[in-house]
Formats: sequence, structure tokens, C-alpha cells
Amino acid sequence: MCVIACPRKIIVLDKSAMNGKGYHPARLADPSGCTGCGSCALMCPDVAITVIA
Amino acid sequence: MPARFERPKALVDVPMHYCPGCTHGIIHRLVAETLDELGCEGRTVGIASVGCSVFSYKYFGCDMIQAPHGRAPAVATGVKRSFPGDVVFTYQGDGDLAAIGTAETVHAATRGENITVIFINNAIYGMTGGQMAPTTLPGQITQTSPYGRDVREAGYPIRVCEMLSTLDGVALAQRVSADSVKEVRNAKKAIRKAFEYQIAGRGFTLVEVVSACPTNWGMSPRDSLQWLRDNMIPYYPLGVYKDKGAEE
Amino acid sequence: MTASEKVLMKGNEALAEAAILAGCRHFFGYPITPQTEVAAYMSKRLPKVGGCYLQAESEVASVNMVLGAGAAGVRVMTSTSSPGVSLMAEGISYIAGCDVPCLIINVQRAGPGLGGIQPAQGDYWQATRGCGHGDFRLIVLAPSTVQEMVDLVSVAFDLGDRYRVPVMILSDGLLGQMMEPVVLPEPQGGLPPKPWSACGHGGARERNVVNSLYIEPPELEEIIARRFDRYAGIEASEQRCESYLTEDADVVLAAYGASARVCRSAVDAARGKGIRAGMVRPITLWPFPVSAFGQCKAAKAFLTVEMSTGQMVEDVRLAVNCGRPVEFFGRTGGIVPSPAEVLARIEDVAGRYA
Repeated sequence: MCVIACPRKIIVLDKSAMNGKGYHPARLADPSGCTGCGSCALMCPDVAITVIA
Repeated sequence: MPARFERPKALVDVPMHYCPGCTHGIIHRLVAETLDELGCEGRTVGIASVGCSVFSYKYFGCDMIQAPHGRAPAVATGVKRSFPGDVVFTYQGDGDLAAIGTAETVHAATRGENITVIFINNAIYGMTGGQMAPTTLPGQITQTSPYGRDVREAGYPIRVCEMLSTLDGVALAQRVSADSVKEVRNAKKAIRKAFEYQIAGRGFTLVEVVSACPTNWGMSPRDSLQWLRDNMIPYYPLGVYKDKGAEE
Repeated sequence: MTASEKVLMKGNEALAEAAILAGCRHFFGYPITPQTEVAAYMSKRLPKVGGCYLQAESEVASVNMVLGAGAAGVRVMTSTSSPGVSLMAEGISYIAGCDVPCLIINVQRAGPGLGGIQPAQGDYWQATRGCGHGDFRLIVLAPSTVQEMVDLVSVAFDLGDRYRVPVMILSDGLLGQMMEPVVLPEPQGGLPPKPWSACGHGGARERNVVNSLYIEPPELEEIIARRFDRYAGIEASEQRCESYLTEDADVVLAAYGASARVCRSAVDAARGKGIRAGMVRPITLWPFPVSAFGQCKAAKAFLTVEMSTGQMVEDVRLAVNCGRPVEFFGRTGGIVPSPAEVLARIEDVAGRYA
């Protein structure tokens, strides 16, 4: 859901990795493009994202 | 460097059991943020109901009581009448609140019980595998309405906010959604207002969150959010149905 | 009213007053004949002592309010009659599964179904066989006078708090409506603390979760086993009964509540006719006073008298290991047996066994 929410579209599902639950985790593909808007964190149901300003 | 956004303290740091794309996690977080902001976790008692959120007692950092299916508002009443200074909330799904628990919901509301009910409406019974709910839309396909809900056989969905708004004991009845950043922000404001009204002793507060169930709707998380916008919000319009604070 | 004065009180009202004196300040209930006086009395008295009386929308809601208040750690009670107990069965199972103490009053009426409003004892199985689904017990107390009703209320709250179990007082329409002089107890001060309760952790302790859901079978089995260890302790220490003229009795009656009053008269009448009759009057129906029956060494036969088709009679048979005849006499439909009827049965049993 962070992938959909990010206005910069810089979050992707990391196909090369797999987490403990068997899913591809989300990854910030372009850290320099992040504005810290927090949209990803707002939409993450697992509260997995911390946004550092 | 301070975090601009981090896990609220009132949300226990354990992995949740919800399906991918389920909006329960978001709403749990909004409730927990509210408890942090109002500084009231220590005097809060949450009532877990029966549904996908049956394990919600694992996730909220306040004292928790597990209620039988549908009975959370009655259990909450017992707690609130024993400790009126406590903040008491229930967290219920559509079957819990509007099927088996309809009487408890309506009567807690009409008594103006100073509790906050968080109502997750995803138009289906998630935990038991996708059966029809009182809020399932006409024509919607579920495990127990395999040809689509036929209103001649199964009747019409219940619009909870509208129904409860006729009761004088209700201080706040607001319907929000969790399908986008904008709506999540709105939902947070509504939840925060509901808890503030409880603390001010205004009466019964209920926030209905129109939510997705990708697993039982048979869609991806992305598609389910769109389906929610296209189908559920027209039937369950977002908005404030009762607000005693605004009337004053 | 001061303690140690005798006052004439109706059973239902005496029970309510006793609960207030025992420190109960929360009552959640729904009207049903023949217990409505309990609720009405509470609705008048509780607000005057800073308590909460709430008429719920049904017995289902009432028992769940009791669950909430009990889980939050206060002394709480509800009162109902037979059909209402059926509605409460789910809640009682949850209360027991959460190890929450509370007091439930059942003023029995004739059943099944809507039945009648006259007294009966048809809920014995319901009460003593757990009153709901799953493996659990609740302590069941059976008063037979209004004074005993008053005395058993504080016993009920104390046992409930000590063992963390729901407690039921099994009354009936006769006891609830009758008026007798009673001595009320002193108000109870200093209620025991409940560190396990869910009332707000105040940042001073770990959060408490009052819950009966244990999805992992080994964990649930362990919880049940520990609970049954507590029940074993209750069975060992809390059996209560009255043995009346049983030391030399050939025919021993077994009866509780209103039936026991009738049987006492019948036993006296039988003695007057030279029959060595006696009575074991269980006061705890669970734990059943098994040892009292074992002590009736002289008894050739037992006669259980109930206002039902025979429910406690099975426990009497078990208590004597089915080693001696246990006969039954009962009336149903809301009819209270007369001492003359019971005497006739005593004579019959004595004639065949003594």
C-alpha cells in the first residue's frame, strides 16, 4: 500500500528479497527522491515504516 | 534525528496477523496514536470483539478485555460504569456490531454510554471465511450469497451511522474510510474527536471506517481499495451523521 | 436499619440489601418474574450509596455488563429467573473462562420454555453442570430461609473473589417472595485487591488482558488444568450442608431450598410416628456435599425430594456410590409439595427398606 501511496512513486517491491512471511518487502528505490511526506507510513498497515525528517 | 513518524507507544511492537492489504492495521495505529496524544493509555480499557480483530487484545498497550461476539458494548458499559474516569473503547466488525450485536450497539448508543465504538465495515465476514454480512451490498458475491446478494431473499444492508444518528444519546456518528492518505488523515481526526468527546462526557461516539477485505473480496489490495471507492462509498457515504459538538 | 436488629424482609429484597452490605455497588439486570423485586430494590438503594444500577436491554446484555465490571475488578451481580439464565449461559461460560468473579442470582420458576411463574427447582442441572459450554464449574449456593439467603450473599462474594469463579445463588419463587425476620450483617469494609483486573494500568504495571481465547491447544489445556486444580481445592474445602437428625436415621431425605422446608416438617411428622427419618440439606449444590451422605451410616434408603422431575437425585446416587437405594419424589409445573405428600412417601420408603 505504500507503493500506491507514495506521490513520488519511489517505493517498489523488492523482488530479490523475501521476508519471514513469504512476501517481497517494500524498499525505498530512490532515497534522494523522498520528501519525508509520510504518506507511505500513513498507509502501512503493519506500522513498518519510520520516517526520519 | 527525531522521527517525524514512528510507531505509537500504545501499539505493542509485535507482528500483526492481518492479511496483506487489510486496513485493520492502519486503524489500530490511528487508535493507538490517539491514546498516545491524549496521554490516556494508562486509564484506558479496550474491549476486543470477535472477528478478524479478535486478537486485537495483543496489539493495544492498554488493559484489554475479550468480549463474546456482539457483546462488546455491554462489556464496555460494565467497565465504564465501574470506572467512569476510564476511557473505554470497543473495536468491532460488521457482524459483531450489526448482526449478533445489534441490540447491544443500539442500546449503548441510546443510553448515551460514554464509550467509543470503532466500527470496521468491510461488507463481509472475514474471520470465518467470507460470508455475507449485514452490510454486504446488494448483488455482492460472498460465500453465502454465491449468486450475489438478492434483496428479495436476504434483504437490504444496514447503514449503521444513519440508523444510530436518530438516537439522542449519540454524541458523534461519523463515517470515514481508510482507502487513501487523505481519507486516513480524515479518519484519524474523527477517531481523535470521538475519544475527546468521550473524555468530555458528551455521550456515545462511533466512528465507522469503510474498509477493504482483499482476501475475501478476491482482489489485490490495490484493486480492493478501488472497489471500495467505486462501490462501498456510494452506498455508505462518508461524512458526519451526528455531532453534538457541532450542534452546540 | 442497624445490624443485629431483626427486620421483616421479603426474600428478594433481603438478598439485595445483603449484597449492598457486602460491598456490591454494581447491578445490571433485566426484569423477569419472580425476581423483579431484586432489581427494583437495587434501583432504589444503589444510587443512594453511590452505586450503579442499570437496567440492561436483555439478560444477554446484563451478563456481559457483569463480565465487564467483574473484569474491571468490582463486586458485581445480576439477578434473573430460569429463562434468563439460559440467555446468560454464553456470558457465564466466558466469565468462568476469564476467571472473573461475580454473583448471579437465579430465582427459579417453572420451565421449560416460558413455563410458569410459580416456584420450581428445574434448573439444578443447568446450575451445577456449568451453566454453559466448555469445561468449567461455578459455585452454587442454595439457601432455604431468608436469613440464609442474607448470610450466603457475603459468602458468595468472598468465595468468588478468593477463587476467581462465578457464584450462583439458586433461589426460587417461594423463597424470593416470602417474608421472614432477618438479622442483617455489618457492612463489609476492606474488599480484597484484584491485581489481575483490567481497569487501566496507570503506567504502574504491565497491562492486564482478561481473555478466554487460547488458540494453541496445549496452552488452553494448561489453563483448564490449573482452573480445575482450583476447583479441586473448592471441592475439598467448601462443601456446606445441614444434616438434620441423620445420625440414627433409617430413611434419609435429600432436599434443598424450598423443598427442604417442606421435608423438615415431614421428617418431624415421621419421627412423631416412630419412623427414624432424617435429612441432608445441601447448601452448596456445587461442590456437592458428598461427605455428608457418606456419614449417614445407618441409612437404609435415601429419598430425594425436588420440585422437578429429579435432577439432584443423580448426585445423591453418585454420593452413595449407587450402593444404597435412592428414591425420588417430586412435583413440577410450579407446585410445591406438601408435608403430607412427603410424609406418605417417607412411610412408603420406610415400609420397604427400614
